[in-house]
Amino acid sequence: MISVKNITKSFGGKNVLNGLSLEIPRGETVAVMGRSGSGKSVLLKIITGLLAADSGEIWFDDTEISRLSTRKMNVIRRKIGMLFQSAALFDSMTVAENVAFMLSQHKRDMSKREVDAIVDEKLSLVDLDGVQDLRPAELSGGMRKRVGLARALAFNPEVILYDEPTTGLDPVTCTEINQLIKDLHEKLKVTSVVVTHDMHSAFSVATRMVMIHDGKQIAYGRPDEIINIDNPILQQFVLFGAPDQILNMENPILRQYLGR
Amino acid sequence: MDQQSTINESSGGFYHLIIVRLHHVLSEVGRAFTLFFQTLVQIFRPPFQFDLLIKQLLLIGFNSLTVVIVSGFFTGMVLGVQGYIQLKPYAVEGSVARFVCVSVVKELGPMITAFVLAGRIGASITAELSTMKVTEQIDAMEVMGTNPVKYLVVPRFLACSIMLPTLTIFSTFAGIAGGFIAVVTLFDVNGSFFLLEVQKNLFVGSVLISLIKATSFGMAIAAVGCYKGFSISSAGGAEGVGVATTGSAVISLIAILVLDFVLNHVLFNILGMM
Repeated sequence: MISVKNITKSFGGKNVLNGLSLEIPRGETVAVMGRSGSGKSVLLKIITGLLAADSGEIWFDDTEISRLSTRKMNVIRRKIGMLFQSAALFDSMTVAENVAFMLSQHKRDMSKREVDAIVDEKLSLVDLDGVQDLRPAELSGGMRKRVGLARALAFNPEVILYDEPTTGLDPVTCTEINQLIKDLHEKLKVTSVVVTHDMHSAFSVATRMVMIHDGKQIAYGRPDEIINIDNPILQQFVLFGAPDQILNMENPILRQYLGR
Repeated sequence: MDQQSTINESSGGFYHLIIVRLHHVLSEVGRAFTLFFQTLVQIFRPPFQFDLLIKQLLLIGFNSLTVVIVSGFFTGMVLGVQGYIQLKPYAVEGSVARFVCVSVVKELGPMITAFVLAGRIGASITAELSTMKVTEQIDAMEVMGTNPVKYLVVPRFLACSIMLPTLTIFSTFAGIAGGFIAVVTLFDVNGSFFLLEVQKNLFVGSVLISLIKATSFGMAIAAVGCYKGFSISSAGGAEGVGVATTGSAVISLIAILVLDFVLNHVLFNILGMM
């Protein structure tokens, strides 16, 4: 569905993405892992057109989108929902206005009643009811992420991009957000890209995993394949963050790195 | 010889610093004008969101009315008092009404209004937009397929361009009223004579000059405020917002003064307006 081909991006002479290629198949939840500063969030910004890649191509189905005009890119963007790391809610608007933002901008012929119904539906999808009139400042971190997710869902996107969805949340809320990502994947059958360095979250939600290091892909596969890849950087990540059920698996590579 | 080479090196460094600084300033000016032209293009491109414009008109216009009237009123009073004191030794204190009227209409009305709005509105536009930038709200807007220039800049630019001349009318009347009250109550000047002099010296051309200046100042305040808000880096944080806001107020004030000089030259010397 989304193909990233040989993308490079540098800031001030420092290469952040160094010929990164990646396949995001339709209907899958792909966890993009890597250390802080490895270019994971930059990748999302390049996919959404917020940043231009220095070279390489991004394909969305049959369209190469890395060099589209803003007007054509905006049409593609309507198929993409994004949950930002900070949720990025508009603090001058209520929760309902935030969720309804895309509808108010791109479906002007909709009546207020129809918009309200969609807002209520999307908020209940993320298990939030009765917060429509609150301001973002009145919400907890977890609630803000849920509202951000409801806003991303408002236009029924084909792809949802999650930028560090569990960063800064307590363990209980992290688990709830992970469950929510899984539930949405099952209910809506959307394609998801989850950028994270939280291995617990990655193993909880992903159907495919990719590891980025030095701006390149160093591992790709299903979670059960990933733990069998003999790469010290990847295995370091797995050992330090994966859930116990993964670490307790009878796996020669993991055992080798665990020193068992 | 060593001393000479040190001098040469330090002067080389100095010129390098100037070139780097000049390059930085020119790049900023270039980006500011790019945003300005993008704004002009977006003004005429549908959809037209009048609700956003009305909200900004109220925020910028209605909420600034009191401070603009008070500033205009006291400026007029000071002009009246100073004008009378300066003209009296030459026995032409009767011209104080003309002095107040011409000064307030052509120069101080638009200028004081612009100064008030640069501090009040220009800085607030920068603070709001730069906070949106560092909290990724502008990125979120773009990802949702909405052009931030169209949604955020156009209503503020239009509202400033419309409200500045409107507020200038209020400030000008307040200034003349201030001058009238100061001169009539503190000195021996006849009220009817003052009003008659004001009527004689209030020309359509003068009002037009005032409104042209005010509209230009409004555009400059909005353009600088929006540009400084947008130009902050996402990693700028709270400190970046503070720096951008202060920069916006300072640049707006300088822009108003430079623009005033240019407009005076163009309107009076080149176009011959009175």
